[in-house]
Amino acid sequence: MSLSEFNLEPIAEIVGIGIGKAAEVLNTMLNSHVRLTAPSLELVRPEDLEGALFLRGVEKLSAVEMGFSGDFEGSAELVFASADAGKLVDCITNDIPMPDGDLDSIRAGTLCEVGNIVINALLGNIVNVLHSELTYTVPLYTEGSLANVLRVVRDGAELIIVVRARFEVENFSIDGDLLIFLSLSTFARLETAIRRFVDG
Amino acid sequence: MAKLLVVDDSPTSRAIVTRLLGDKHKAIPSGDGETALALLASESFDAVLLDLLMPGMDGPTVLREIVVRHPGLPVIVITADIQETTRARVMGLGAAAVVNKPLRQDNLLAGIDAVLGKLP
Repeated sequence: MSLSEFNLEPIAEIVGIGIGKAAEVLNTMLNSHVRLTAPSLELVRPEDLEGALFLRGVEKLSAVEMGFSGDFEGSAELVFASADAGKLVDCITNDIPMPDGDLDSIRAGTLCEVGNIVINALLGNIVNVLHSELTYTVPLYTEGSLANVLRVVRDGAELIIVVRARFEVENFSIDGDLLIFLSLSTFARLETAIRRFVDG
Repeated sequence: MAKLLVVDDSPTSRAIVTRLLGDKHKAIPSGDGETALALLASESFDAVLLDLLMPGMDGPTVLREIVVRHPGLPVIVITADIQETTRARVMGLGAAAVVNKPLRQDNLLAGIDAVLGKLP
């Protein structure tokens, strides 16, 4: 089946609600108004993933990945340019007395927490709407080239829902890609569940 | 001022909770479930703030252990997991309340006050 035969509109509708929630949680985390602009959604195969990303061409990336199982299995990854990730960390930690530790581990820990909260906001809203249930793995932080950060999750996935989102915070904007890696059969189950929900 | 055990593997999260509690409550941080249970065996606390998703002993396991070993000690689950099923499950395991991340000071303090206010 060609990917263009899938009707992504119902999925985009449900994902849009989750992305709105993700903006809301970032708003709370950063204590600053976060505006979400022009999110777009695309369904791609693993071999076409790099070309579909907002962040293609960015040399150094920061990513947080969480696996999930239950009614749907797969993994989700939140990817930022490392420079933007640094701005996020500074925003979140600037008035918090952080424990002693090397800056890299504080940065990784903070971004893991951001990824945990944003991915939970996105997926949690979807499964709440669908009356489904997921169990998550502990978030994993990776940093490096696109190939590096995607390698963690792309193996075994047959389809990827790519959500391109731009979060505009007060004095800077952050482009990010939110990726949901699924098998074909899981995607089909998710699509059916969403269509049933939308059709009532 | 209540003495609260804050159990979360994320140093950032522990630092945020500690900052939000401010001078209102005393936070004793713990980075994992095993350490938390050891602390509970040797010190007395008014309540536990417990993350769910942790490596090693996870939050639900820690919660079960606390309910068995320290009946009556209130456990407030603090989690990014916003699923209704998760909330129902941890309340079923014996949690006193669930507060979702990202934390806001008003929500966190209200949750703690509500739980501590219910104590005999």
